[in-house]
Amino acid sequence: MKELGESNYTFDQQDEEVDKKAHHRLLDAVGRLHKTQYIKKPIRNEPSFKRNEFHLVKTKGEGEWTIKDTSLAVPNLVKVLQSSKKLESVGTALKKSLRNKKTLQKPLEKPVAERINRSVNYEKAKKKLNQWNAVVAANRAADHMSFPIQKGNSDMDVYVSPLADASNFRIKSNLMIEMEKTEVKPDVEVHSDNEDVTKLTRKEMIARSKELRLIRIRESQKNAKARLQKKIKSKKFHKIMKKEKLKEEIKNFQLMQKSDPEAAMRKLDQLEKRRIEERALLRHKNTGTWAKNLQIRSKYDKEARKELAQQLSIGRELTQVNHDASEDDDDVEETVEQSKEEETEIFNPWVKQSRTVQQEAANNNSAEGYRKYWNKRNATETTLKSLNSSDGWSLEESTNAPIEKPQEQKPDVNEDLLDDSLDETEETSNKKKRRNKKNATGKTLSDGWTVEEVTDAKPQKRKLVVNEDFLDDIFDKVEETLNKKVSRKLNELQKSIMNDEDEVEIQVKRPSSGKYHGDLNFKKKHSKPSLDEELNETQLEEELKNQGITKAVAQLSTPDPAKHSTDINPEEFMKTKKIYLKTTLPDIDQGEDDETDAAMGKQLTIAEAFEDDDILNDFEQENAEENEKKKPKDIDLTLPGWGKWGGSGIKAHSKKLILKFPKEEKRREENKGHVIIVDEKNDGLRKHQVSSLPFPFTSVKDYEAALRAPVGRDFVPEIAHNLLTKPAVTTKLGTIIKPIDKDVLFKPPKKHLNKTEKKIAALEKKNKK
Amino acid sequence: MTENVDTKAAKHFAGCEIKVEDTKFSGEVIEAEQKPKHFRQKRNKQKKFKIDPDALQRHSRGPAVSETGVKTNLFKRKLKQKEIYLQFSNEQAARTEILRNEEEGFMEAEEGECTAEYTQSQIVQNVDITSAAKRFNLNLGFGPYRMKYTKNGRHLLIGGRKGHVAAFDWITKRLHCEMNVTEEVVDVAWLHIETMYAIAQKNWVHFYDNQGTELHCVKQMNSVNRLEFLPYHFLLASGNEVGYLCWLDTSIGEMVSEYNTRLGPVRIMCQNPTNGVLCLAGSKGVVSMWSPSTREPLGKMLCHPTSISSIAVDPKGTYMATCGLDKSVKIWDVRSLSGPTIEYKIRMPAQHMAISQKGLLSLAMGNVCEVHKKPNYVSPSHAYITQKCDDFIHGMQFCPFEDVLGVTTRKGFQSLLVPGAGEANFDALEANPFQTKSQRRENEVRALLDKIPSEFIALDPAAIGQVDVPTFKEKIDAKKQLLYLKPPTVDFKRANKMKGKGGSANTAKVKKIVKNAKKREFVKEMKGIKQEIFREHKVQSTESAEDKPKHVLDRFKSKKRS
Repeated sequence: MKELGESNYTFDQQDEEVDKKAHHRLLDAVGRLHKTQYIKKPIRNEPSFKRNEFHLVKTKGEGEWTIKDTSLAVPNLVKVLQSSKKLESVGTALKKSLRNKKTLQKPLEKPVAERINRSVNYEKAKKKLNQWNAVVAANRAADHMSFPIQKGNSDMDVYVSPLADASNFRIKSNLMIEMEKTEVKPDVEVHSDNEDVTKLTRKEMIARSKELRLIRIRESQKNAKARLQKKIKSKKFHKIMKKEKLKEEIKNFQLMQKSDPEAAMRKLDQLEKRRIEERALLRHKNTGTWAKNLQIRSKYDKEARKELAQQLSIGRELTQVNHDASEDDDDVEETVEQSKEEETEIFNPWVKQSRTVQQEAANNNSAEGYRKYWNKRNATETTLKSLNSSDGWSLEESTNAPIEKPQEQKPDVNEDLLDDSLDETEETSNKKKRRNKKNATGKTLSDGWTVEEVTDAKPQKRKLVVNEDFLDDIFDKVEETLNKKVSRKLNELQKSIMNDEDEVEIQVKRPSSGKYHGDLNFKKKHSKPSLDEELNETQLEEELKNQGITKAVAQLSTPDPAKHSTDINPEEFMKTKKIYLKTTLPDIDQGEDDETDAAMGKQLTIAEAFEDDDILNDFEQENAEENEKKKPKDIDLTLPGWGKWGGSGIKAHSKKLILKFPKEEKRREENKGHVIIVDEKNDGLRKHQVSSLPFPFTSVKDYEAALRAPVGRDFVPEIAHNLLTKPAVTTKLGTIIKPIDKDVLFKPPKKHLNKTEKKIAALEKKNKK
Repeated sequence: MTENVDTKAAKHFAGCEIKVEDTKFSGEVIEAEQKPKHFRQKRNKQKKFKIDPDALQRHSRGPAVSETGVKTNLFKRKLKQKEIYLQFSNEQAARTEILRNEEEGFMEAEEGECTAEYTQSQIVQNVDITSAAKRFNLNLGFGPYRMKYTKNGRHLLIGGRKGHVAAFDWITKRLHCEMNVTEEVVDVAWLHIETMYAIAQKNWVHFYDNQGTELHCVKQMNSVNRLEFLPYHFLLASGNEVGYLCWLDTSIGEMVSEYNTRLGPVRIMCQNPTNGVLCLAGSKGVVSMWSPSTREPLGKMLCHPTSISSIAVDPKGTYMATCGLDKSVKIWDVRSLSGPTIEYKIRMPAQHMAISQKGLLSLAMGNVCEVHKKPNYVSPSHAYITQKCDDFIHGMQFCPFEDVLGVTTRKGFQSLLVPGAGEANFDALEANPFQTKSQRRENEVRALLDKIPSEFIALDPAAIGQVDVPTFKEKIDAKKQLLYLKPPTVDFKRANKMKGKGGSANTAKVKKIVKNAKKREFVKEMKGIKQEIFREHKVQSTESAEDKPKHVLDRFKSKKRS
């Protein structure tokens, strides 16, 4: 089938252009008719997930077909497509696409690709590692290292007192164990918290402590504010405050009704409860209008008197209930527990907060079932009234409730607007409000409060609110500034972190230009990644060192004046004058007791007589002998008697084999005159001496100079001794020495220099100069 | 009224009392309310202590390492750092000099007077009681005495020729022991502590403790003339009547070295405290220096054209004083064996000399003892102190850390006051005159631990810090030996022989072959080496034309113009 198609195709081609190539191709195809084709020609199939290896396209060989030749070649396809009218547009699109698109390059062979990959990875790794060069070099050159290095950057060390720890290892008696079981463990939470603390990094710790500090500041501010407000004696102010709060609450409540009716209902319940509680207080025993009226009436009316008595008895009952013993005990226990908890968790605001919430809930619970009597009585009456009436119950919850962040309060809340926003469902409340508005003209309510006061209160409220605002403003300002500060700091922190990262990236780029410089090569300065100031400093140091080297070289090249001085003959230089001393003569005859003393007198004269005679000669002779000993002797290798024989007239050959060894060019200066120094080496000492230069030294002079100064306590001051004999590495006991942290690259830990270190730094500076 | 005001004002004026003369004052006083200003005294910033450059020089340890001789940059850097530390230590050492608060001073004479005129009794009258107590006379009847002070100068040991030995704390005059050894006592020496001492007696050297109990008798040291103890090496050195020098290690009781100096009887001997070398002076005017490790003298110096009568080395080891029979005293620089730096002429040769810690030189001439300061240009010819002793002087030593000169004569011991002789500041860890018993014990252990091996005794005390480089002569000797090298003997052993594979004859053959091959190889190798040596050192035959036999055709050569 295929072949048929193909042959057709070829025929078509032939029709169009008679070409040698085509002809050749044809011949090829014909010749291939009988050959077996193992790899199938590519056929366009439905795309499948399976890749068959036999669908691979055979590469072009000699006399083989290519995809261009087949019907699958794009131009051919285009032709086919263009032939039918339906697909003409597709064909043109294909053609266009062909024009635009380039063929992808052939993928590289696997080993080549891998090689490239490897080389790229190598470069990357190199860059990464080269960052450490400077640090490593500095650490290697440091004469003293104390581990752990990253004291500042490591996680916070939490001090655990050894005593506290030791208690864990004490063997506990049975009694102790039992006691422990019974003991309440309040600080389990704290412990867990502490563990968390230990896990925090330093930065986190700092951030957290800041947060805590802020919270504390705010709290204290609020406390101060509350205290100030509490101190204000004007009743009006407090009334207004209450009103305001109430209004706010109403507003919130209305909003809540919209958003979360269930919560609103709950709130309503709560409010009611609170009102009931309030009502139940003994405060209202005889202060309400009803009670007052009753009192007046009781003077004249018996029933009224009865009622009053009943009322009083109820009150008494209730007070008695308050002092119930069992309840008291419970209370005491509770308070004790609370105080305990508070003691343990003073420093844990999170725990504290959660507990306050709990407490509130508990309070609410305890309030339940309290004063059923009053509940029954007032339940029906005042639920909704209380909501809308501007007064009616004190807001004690304001003191109970945790003081919240003061929101920006608009002094004049438009009630009308609120009204508009009310739901249609709350018809009752709306009605009441309308009624209030109507009443605002001057009617009195059943409660006995005039609504006029509300209207009157408005301007007053404004004044006061201004005052309050002033106070609020102060706090707000403080808060704002604090917030700003915190945000700024946070920003800075973030920026710094970002910068650090950027820097790292930059630095990663930099070292690519240079080679690896593990040994602090002086020649190439740029190569070292300048990660920080100090690292830059090291560069500077190197430059200075370079200068120092050049200087040293210059000094070496200049003739040493000291050397000249050695050439000067000291004898000529130091010809001393004889100083004649007027010594007293002894007045004793010393020759009596001692033989030696007796000999002295005689010797004197003889010695003086023979002065300068043979002593000098003897010494010179000795000196010469000594010098001769030092000189290497020549060797005569001629055989004795060789060439010495023969009769008369025969001359001996003067072929002597004598080896002449060079005499020591530089004779010791000291041996010239009156001094002989025997240069023979002391074998005993030799055993202890160093015979070959150890590694870093190449010259004897420098090695000896390196050894010249003692380090012992007896020879140098104690401080210097400690400095010179400081161990190369010290480790802190009981600490984990972690591998070096990357933080070192960013910020080398600042060292606090002590006195000697300062002095040494000064010396270093001086030496650089 | 005005007066009141004025006084007030005066009082107000910062505590200063100003007397106001108000008699002619006629104006009005306006009292300005000024609070008295209390000027806080500016805290005197401690002036930066400037280090004395001389002190720095004194404490310096020599030139620093140059970087040229060090290999890698890392080590260059490290050494540089070390140099800075050394510099710091140098500065620190110079700084500590302010702790030396004691000062030494000399007597100064008024005009027209000379310090030499002052007698000891006059000096005693003018000094404090404790110092006055240090001047005393011991009249003893056991012949000429020898003496030694301990290193810290606290204890004194005297020994009379006729056998009298006494050890005592001379400051408190507390006697440790006194005895008669019933033998001739030639010389005495303290060992490392004041509880032990050695006495050279007629035949041998005996050791005693401070109770007078004989601890030891060293018969190897016989007929000793002079004793010296080297405290840092724990060596007791002795010079013999026959010319032998002995060193005995007192810490382990071993004779370190013993040999003949071939200089005749050792009469004049002293030690150089810095390097532990013994200085012997002989009749040939030569001072020779000896160490236990070499049998040859380390150095010889011709000091006088006549025989030497006395010798002394100063405690710092910088100077050596010699006195010859030519009646001259010469001061030498003993570190470089050069000099003389100063030469004095005296009227009588001094039979004893001593140099104090502060550089005073005392000469004993007959029965006269003279102390001289360093050359003084004002009155160079006069002595600092002169003292005529009752008899011929046989020994003399300045007491360390005291202004005292001990003199032994034929008739006893004299302690003379010489102001300015001793070092005023002592290093208590080194030599403490006020040492307690426990300190002494501590010190003994320390000294033993810090003992310097006897091999280290050399002219240069820092030789141990030097690299052992072969001398020129050694190099050439090694080269010469190459010429006479013999082929190495080959220890041939045949590998495991299989049964039936060659008998003993065969092995012998193989052995011979191998030996010869090795020998040939060696000879070939040596030939090359030898030829190289020949090429280098062979004397070029300088055969002049006259040596050559005349050729017949030589006459046609152009003649040289004379």
